[in-house]
Amino acid sequence: MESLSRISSILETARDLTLEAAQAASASGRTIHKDGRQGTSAETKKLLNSRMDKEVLDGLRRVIGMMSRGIDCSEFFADVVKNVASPVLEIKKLVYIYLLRYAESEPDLALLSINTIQKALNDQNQLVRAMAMRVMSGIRVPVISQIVALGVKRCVADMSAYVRKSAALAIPKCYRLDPTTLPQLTESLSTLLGDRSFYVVGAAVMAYLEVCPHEWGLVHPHYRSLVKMLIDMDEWGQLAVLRLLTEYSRRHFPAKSTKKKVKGWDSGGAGGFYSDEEVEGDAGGKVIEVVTVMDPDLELLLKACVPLTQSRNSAVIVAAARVYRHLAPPSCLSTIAGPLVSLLRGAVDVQHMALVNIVSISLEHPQPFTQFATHFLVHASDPAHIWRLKLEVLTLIFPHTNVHTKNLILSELEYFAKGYDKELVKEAVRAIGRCAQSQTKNAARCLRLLLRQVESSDGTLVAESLTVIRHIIQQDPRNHAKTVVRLAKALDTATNPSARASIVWLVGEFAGINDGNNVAADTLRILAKGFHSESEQAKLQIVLLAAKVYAHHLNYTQPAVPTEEGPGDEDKHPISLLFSYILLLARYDLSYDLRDRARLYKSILSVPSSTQLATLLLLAPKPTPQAPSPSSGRESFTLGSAAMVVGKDEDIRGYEALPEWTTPSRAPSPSLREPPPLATPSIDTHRGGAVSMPAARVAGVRSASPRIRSPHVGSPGVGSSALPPTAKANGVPESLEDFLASEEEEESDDDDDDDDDVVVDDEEEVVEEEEESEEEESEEEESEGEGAGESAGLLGAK
Amino acid sequence: MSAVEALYVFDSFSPATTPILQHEWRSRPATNAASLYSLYKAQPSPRPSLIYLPTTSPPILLFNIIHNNLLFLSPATSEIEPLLVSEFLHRVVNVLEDYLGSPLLGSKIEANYDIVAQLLNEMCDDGFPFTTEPNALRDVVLPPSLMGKLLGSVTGLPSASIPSSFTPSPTRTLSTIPWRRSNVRHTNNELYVDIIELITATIAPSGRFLSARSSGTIAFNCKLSGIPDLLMTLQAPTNHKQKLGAPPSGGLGFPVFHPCVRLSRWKERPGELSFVPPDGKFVLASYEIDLLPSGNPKSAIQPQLPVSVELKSAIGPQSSEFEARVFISTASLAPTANTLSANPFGPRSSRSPAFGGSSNNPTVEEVSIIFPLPPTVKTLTGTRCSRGEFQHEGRRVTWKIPTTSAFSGTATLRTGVVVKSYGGDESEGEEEAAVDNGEYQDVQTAGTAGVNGGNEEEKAKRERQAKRKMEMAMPRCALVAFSVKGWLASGVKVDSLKVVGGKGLGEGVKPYKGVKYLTKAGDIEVRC
Repeated sequence: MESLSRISSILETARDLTLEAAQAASASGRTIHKDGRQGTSAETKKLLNSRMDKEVLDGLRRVIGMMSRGIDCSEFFADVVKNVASPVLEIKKLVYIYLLRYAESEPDLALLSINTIQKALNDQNQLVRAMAMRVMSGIRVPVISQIVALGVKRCVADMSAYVRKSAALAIPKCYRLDPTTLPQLTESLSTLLGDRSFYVVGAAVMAYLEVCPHEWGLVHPHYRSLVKMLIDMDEWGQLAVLRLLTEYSRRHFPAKSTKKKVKGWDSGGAGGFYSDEEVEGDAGGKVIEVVTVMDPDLELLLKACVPLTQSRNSAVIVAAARVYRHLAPPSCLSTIAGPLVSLLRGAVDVQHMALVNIVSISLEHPQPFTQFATHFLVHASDPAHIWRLKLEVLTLIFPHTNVHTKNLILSELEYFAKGYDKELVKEAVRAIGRCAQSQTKNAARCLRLLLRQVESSDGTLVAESLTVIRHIIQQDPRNHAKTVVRLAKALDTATNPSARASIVWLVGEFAGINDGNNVAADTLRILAKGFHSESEQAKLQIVLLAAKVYAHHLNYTQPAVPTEEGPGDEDKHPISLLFSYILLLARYDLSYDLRDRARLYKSILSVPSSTQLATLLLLAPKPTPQAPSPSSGRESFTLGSAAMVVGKDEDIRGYEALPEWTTPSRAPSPSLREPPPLATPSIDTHRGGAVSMPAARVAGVRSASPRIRSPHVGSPGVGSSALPPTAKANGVPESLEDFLASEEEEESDDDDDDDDDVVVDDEEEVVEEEEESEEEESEEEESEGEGAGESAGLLGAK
Repeated sequence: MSAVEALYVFDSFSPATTPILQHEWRSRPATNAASLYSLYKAQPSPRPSLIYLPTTSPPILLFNIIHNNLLFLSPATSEIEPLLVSEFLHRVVNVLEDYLGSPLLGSKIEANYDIVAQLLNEMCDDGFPFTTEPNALRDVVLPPSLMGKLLGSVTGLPSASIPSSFTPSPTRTLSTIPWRRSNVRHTNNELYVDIIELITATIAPSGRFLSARSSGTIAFNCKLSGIPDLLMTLQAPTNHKQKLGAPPSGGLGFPVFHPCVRLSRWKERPGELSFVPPDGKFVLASYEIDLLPSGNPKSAIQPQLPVSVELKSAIGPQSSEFEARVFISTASLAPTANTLSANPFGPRSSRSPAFGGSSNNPTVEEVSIIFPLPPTVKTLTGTRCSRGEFQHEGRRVTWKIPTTSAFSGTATLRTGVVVKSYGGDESEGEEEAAVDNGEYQDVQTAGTAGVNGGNEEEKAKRERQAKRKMEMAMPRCALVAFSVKGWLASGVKVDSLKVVGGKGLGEGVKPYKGVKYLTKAGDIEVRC
């Protein structure tokens, strides 16, 4: 999605930033010293020690300002920290920010503030409690680790989701402070993972990934609720959960459980998850289908990812793509191809990452991207790292597109091959080569295209084209004899020295086909005529060509006349004449390199005994060159990782490849994933039931139309616990009014009343969840029979 | 492991290499801001948004974005999803702009360090993005205006302590909806919708469209009290719907939505957006539409753009000139505009002139054509244009054509090109990668000129070479930019926008609603 700032800059008329800056600077009117200091430190200290909150606040702003500039402010430590007990929230916040930064350097003084912060954990205001939690865990003073762990434990049971979220993020900090607190922390974490507010669960998963990413026992019971909550979490929570579940699925769902079913032709819907089924007919006329059956829990995850592809956050879209790339059968990749391509309308950095991911998928599965070929056309404004990737995608999808798109891609590449950006020209020509390589059917066409470039005056283009032509020819030398003839013809017009040299070399390579009955000798004859005006580069190749032709000639004639060869016989044959003529010319050339080589060929070819050696030397078969896609190797990385962007040569710290699929025998029982019994103590309903709704209800939040999404940043006394059950089922417009009305009522309620509500609420939840689980069961039963069509619909809908 | 570790902001206006803002979420990093900056500068421009620095210890993944004149750098020492950091940085920019006012400038950050520090502290905790919704942040961090009140010296409050009641109420309670702050009150209830489309197109020399897409963004500025529940119905152009085989999204390709939008509603009834909006400005959704019917460029129907360009290069006696003709016509805009006449906004919403150009009469504005020039061009001679003015700067010519409200017609620009001599090439040394080829040609032409000056064949060859050289000096495309108010290239329009529920908005209150359409040419490339 376009960022708001970009949109507003489009909407507003262009402004001169320099002028704006000048205005802003004069308007701010504050005296800021060159080095960023405001006032002297004595002045600042005086302000900090003032009895007036206003002055203290001003002093703190100065300190924070200097801190943000990177100026050392540790001298104010005592003066700042003594304000920690201030009742004014704004002062407290700034002191906390200061503490987070400098407590490390003054641990003893920082300890003095711990008591006050600990007290703040009991504050009435949830903001203060959350802040206290964050500061306490954030000041890196190891001695307080036990206090922090206790604080975490306490905040985990807090009624405010905001505080619980802070507690979740405090867990990794506490763990880093003192790893021995792990058992206590794991316990808290387990509670948080089962939290009913999706607001908290996202943070809990982040903490889990940081602290104990392989304690799968903690995840099992929450797997299903995590998947259900996925859609309603904030974007960062979604990212963490997707990261966790991708690895979880690889480790706990066996690769593919296949079942054989005997079915009639017309039964069973194709497509969706089942579209990679293999259909085999057997003798009995019945059809045995090898159906890929996915674990229902994995299917749940894949379904939950579909709506995520409409997230405004590009990282979430890529994370959803990762789930499909690494967990779903390749036939489902089309679900995520479109959303990935749609990222190309974003900012350049997003485009870059999107392209890297698209390339890595299309290295193995280009088909889903074929319909988006026009999205990858290079624009004049694209920077190099963008067009490189775009050209690569075009060549990767090329073999799988229809004729029309193929024409489009080739003409596009041709257009760029004629450009003036040398790098782009090179890359475009190479891309043409890769197109030819990937599908020999099109090689002829690509060759024609490249041959047209050979006559160009642009050296880079010609040289690059010839290299690519050589690659194409060498891959399949037999079918390209005619191409060599064409190339030899091009010698009449080609002027570029390196181009001429390359052509001559190629002709030489083909001097041996058809038992010497080919153009090589004739080409040599024509070249000999113009030898004097060739460049040195070309002359070298001509001499080499002469040697090759002569060596072939000797090989054909020698066995017939092993010993009787005399100077008289040899002179008669035009090839021998040509060879000695060329040698003669070369002997008197200006270049001694050329003269040396001529001498070498002459001596090695003059004695029959060394002919075999000469053949080995000159006519050795050359290995077929391979021009792999520039990014090949990227496909082995996990989609969406930084390691993939950086490439295969670097080792990124902390990157771990996804584990292989587990085997059916090692996969844990699905019963592990059964949610824990309902008796779990409900934190939310502890007081006011304010904070969150049960997961079951939450899952449907974005589906029930006229209802506001459930509150998840609860505050004491504000909540929706009194939502009547009818409102949840099928959102009639009144239900919203009811919901809002009830919320209003509750706002004015006392805590005691809330407690009453809780009882009611608990009962409702029980009923609700039972219903839900029943539904689930019945769904599971049905999935055997109808699953095919159903899932096809779900995935195909995208 | 994977965390956003720090943020450094540099101002390109100030010569200093120290950041104007630095904020570290984790312990002090090993590589300081200044050396990161120099390593960043050492990379050749244009720089990708993720730079890997293997030479530092430990190696660093350096994420960077540029906004206005500010450079945002964020280093990471271990594997992290690159887009997570990118998105987070963009989010930081948006939030800062929201708080400090647009455009975001270094001086504004410098004047509000305390607020920026609070924001950054709230947006990310220990390297994990925490609260990033602008509305939720409003509940937690006071905007500069309120902060100023706290500090204001003329309030006459008993200065010994600021009574806690003075602390504005939002900080006491947190909103129950993550993207909407609590207790929204507005005296005037207003609702503005801007739909902006950017056209991206590539046009082949023959005039055929190779690709044409329009990517749209629906931006909102919502100033409604309480918690309103809105329903907006979009109407996608029917012809696209049919041609595209009626995709489930109702013609809008690959939409993405703000989290407030109820996705299932969209899925059931494409085109209906049901949501409780955040307060203030936000982007509701974005989409793209392929302007080529059925995606087949060969089909007879070609998209009609109000500005088209014809580019002829290598013309004139020495084939050293190129000419561009621009046709501007508003005729193609009329049909879409007329359909707007049915006023969906009820009696109160007569369109105000503030809504930029009466949308019944779309006008083409800000027409400019850019010709990127090859590096071999030394200068331009005899440039003339029938309208507007041109500017040759570096390797591009920008030609701006002023338009009046009802302007339709053509304009022409013709110019000669002077090519750099080879000597110039070598002294510039910037582009001749295959130097030996150049030398070779040089020697050959010089030699033939000296020895065989009269030779007809050589002369023809030389002419051919000169012609080729000219061809290499011709622009290969023209980039067209324009904007049209009151018209959308895709034909999408807002059918209705209703407050269907919610609370806090008084019974009789009918909010003022306004819709504005704007189409911009984002990247239209006319090749030749």
